[in-house]
Amino acid sequence: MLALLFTPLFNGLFTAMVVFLFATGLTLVFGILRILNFAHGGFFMIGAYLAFSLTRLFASDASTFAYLLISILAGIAVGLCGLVVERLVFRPLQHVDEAYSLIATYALLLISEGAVKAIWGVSFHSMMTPAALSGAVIVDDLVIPLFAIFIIGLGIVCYLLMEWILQHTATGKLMRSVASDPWMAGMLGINVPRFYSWIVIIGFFLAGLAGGLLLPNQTLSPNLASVFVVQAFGVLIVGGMGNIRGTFIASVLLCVIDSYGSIIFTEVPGIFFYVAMAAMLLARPQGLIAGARL
Amino acid sequence: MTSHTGGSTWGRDAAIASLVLVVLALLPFAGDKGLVFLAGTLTLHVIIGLSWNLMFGRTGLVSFGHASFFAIGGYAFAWVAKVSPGLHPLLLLAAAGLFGAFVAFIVGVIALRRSVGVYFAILTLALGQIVYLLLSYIPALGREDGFTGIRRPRLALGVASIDLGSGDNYYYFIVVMCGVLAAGLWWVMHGRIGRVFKSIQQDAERAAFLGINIQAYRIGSFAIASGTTAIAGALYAPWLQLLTPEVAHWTFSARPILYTLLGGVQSFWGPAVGALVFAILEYGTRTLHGLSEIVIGSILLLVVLAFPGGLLGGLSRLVGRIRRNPPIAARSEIVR
Amino acid sequence: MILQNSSDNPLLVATDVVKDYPSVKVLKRVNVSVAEGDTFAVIGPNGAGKTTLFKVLSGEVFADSGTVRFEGEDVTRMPEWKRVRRGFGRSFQVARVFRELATEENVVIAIEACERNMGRRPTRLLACRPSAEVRDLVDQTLLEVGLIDKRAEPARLLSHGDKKRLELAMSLALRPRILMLDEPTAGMSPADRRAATELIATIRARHRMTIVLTEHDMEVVFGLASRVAVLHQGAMVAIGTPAQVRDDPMVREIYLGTGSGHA
Repeated sequence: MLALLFTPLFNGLFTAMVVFLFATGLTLVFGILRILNFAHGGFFMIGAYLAFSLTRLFASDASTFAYLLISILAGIAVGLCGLVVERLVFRPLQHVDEAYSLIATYALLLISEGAVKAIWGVSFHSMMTPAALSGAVIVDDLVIPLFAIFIIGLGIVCYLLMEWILQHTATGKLMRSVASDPWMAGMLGINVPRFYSWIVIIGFFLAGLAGGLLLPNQTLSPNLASVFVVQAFGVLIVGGMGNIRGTFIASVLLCVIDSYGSIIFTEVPGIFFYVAMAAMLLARPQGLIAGARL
Repeated sequence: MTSHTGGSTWGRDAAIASLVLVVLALLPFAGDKGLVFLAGTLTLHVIIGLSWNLMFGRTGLVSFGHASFFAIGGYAFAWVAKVSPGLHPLLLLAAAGLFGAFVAFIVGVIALRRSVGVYFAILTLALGQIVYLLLSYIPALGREDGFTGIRRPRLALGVASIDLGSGDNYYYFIVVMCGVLAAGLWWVMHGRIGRVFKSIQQDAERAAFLGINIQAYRIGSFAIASGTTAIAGALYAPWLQLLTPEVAHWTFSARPILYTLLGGVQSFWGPAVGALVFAILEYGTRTLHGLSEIVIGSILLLVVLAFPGGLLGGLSRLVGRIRRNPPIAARSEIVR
Repeated sequence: MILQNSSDNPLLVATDVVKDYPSVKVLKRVNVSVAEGDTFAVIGPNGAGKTTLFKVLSGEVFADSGTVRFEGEDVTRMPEWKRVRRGFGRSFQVARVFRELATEENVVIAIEACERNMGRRPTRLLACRPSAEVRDLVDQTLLEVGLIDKRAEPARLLSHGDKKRLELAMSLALRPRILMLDEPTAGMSPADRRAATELIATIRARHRMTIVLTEHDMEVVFGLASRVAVLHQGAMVAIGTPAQVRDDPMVREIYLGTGSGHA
């Protein structure tokens, strides 16, 4: 009985936190730079593949420590790529019609997808969950994988951490003021271009980190980017275009609805996400939490 | 083309079009079946590019899901042809086009409510994903294996009936139909409606203060472009005689973007030039895995960063420098 | 001191308009009544809310509460394009024209829009070029504002003053009942300013237009306005004829001086 009612809930929450962890970096970059970074998906994928290769080479013992360390390393590697991208792509396009920066980041996504195919091939890979996190909690007939609990917890922690940073620290205040008025912030002495660089690097770092962390239990294929990117954009829009709280709430709502919806409508898995998204945008085009910058 | 009261480029464009049609008509006599197939496909891709540019270059809308309409048109044609084999192909094409325009209308009502370009861009991407999912999972449409066995129909034209399945007849059908579609797009872009689109692209709020209902016109532009692309998709189905969900994938949606930017946003012929150049590049790199995405992505990136006017934009700047006319800016710089 | 002129033929009436932005109340229960044939100027220091009032009256933003009525009809929540069709014309502080298009094409678009607004069906449906009637009107309009010799130039290459004239031409092409000019002489040299004032006066006389304008230059205001309203920190503090307002002690206090020259 419990399984029927709650399995979709946990599945939904798991997916929601996966999407949220992916979308955090995206929301940050969009909220502050107002650039919709398609490449976020590509770099997430590169992070995942990097983590995969590193694990196969150095840590086939599936230890949790290796898992976390490799994820961070993947994040750093991708973050460094972000540095290059920011300098070469984002900065020249700062003052140009937003359509062109959209197309440019889209192009970066294609390049990432192609690079992954070229380096790692088109076949599917998967990786085992680290030993400490495999296994499950069993309540009645409800089976909840430990890894799912870990990810859900991680997502919630990430959200609370971001909220705390943004609302209660000086750095957060800095981020919010640059987000709402970069010109004024520049007038007040903040080095806005350098700040932007840092945000992009952090955004990419988070993409790579998410790639590494979400690797276990995942089927690794070059199509990875597409699935996540569209869903992340979806929660970004429904959340209100660029604030963390909205992204979090939208992730939970859309993914849980999709999870329950897929049970009713098993023909086309994943379609309910978009149905829910369309419905929410019809009802409230400005998003759940409108007008908030970060 | 731009900046004048419309009539001046008619002669030039008609001449170019006639030349292109003559070349296409003579192509089968070169004897290479593969070349004929590529030419037919290229012609369809040109239409996809031209219609995307109606949205982008003329109305200022960026769509990342244009391929969905190509897929919608193709699958609609194939499915209806299978279910009711007797229907006249021109009727089917028109129906496919109207269906595509209808879907665009529905999506447009949701996606064009807010004037922020990013909003529309994301929703077109989502549309692409939805269509891809639906096509991959609905059994009646063949799922991942695709829709097979699409036959080339008989075309009844009152006095005569042409079997499009024999010889190069279907190729000529494609050329003629694409000529009609291109002429239609030219008319839309250069007439009254096109001028309204241009005003919305230049400064939407200002256009609103001229009494123009910008949302209605944006949806209209989206519908026209999508309907045209759907017809192209419907023409493609019997050409390849097979359709797979890949035609709705977003990497295919990248193509009209690439064609347009590569060839030049400002010119009507930009997407055509871009499609041709890209086809040549793609043919040259066809054997290498993953290389096509890297090539498409890199060229797109390079064009956006360094040559936003595309090939034709660069050409017109060169000509302008020779003639000492002020060049038309390729992309608007906005001061934030 | 608020002196109301009894308006026997009010064209545009705003009642108790309130508009807030997230952290500041910009308009606090503003009342405006513009009679037909008036040239109504709204003045006030920077930040007083003039442009916001303009936006509310023209439909660029909607008031949070209060009403705006045009010719008796409630237009408070009507989007700008519908108001334009009812007879509003608007110019912007920084002249907004279609930059990449030629000067004459700007006017063509405005005139074709006007035809559409008035419900006139185009005579030759399939033609690409604008009809002969439209082209004649374009020529007339360009002559009227003095831009006929710059017709083929891309609008972005026009001088600032010329851009303003083009924008005026476009607003006029719509045959508005009421023309709203947001700082029409902003950024102009004194010579340009006088020319612009004369142009507005000529057009007003020829088309018998009702005008609402905001301005900083007192010379322009006193040269054109039949009634003046003073906005200060979102509230209307004085309304009356230019002379009445100029002599009003509270207005003097706001401007900290005897009012000649700039506000």
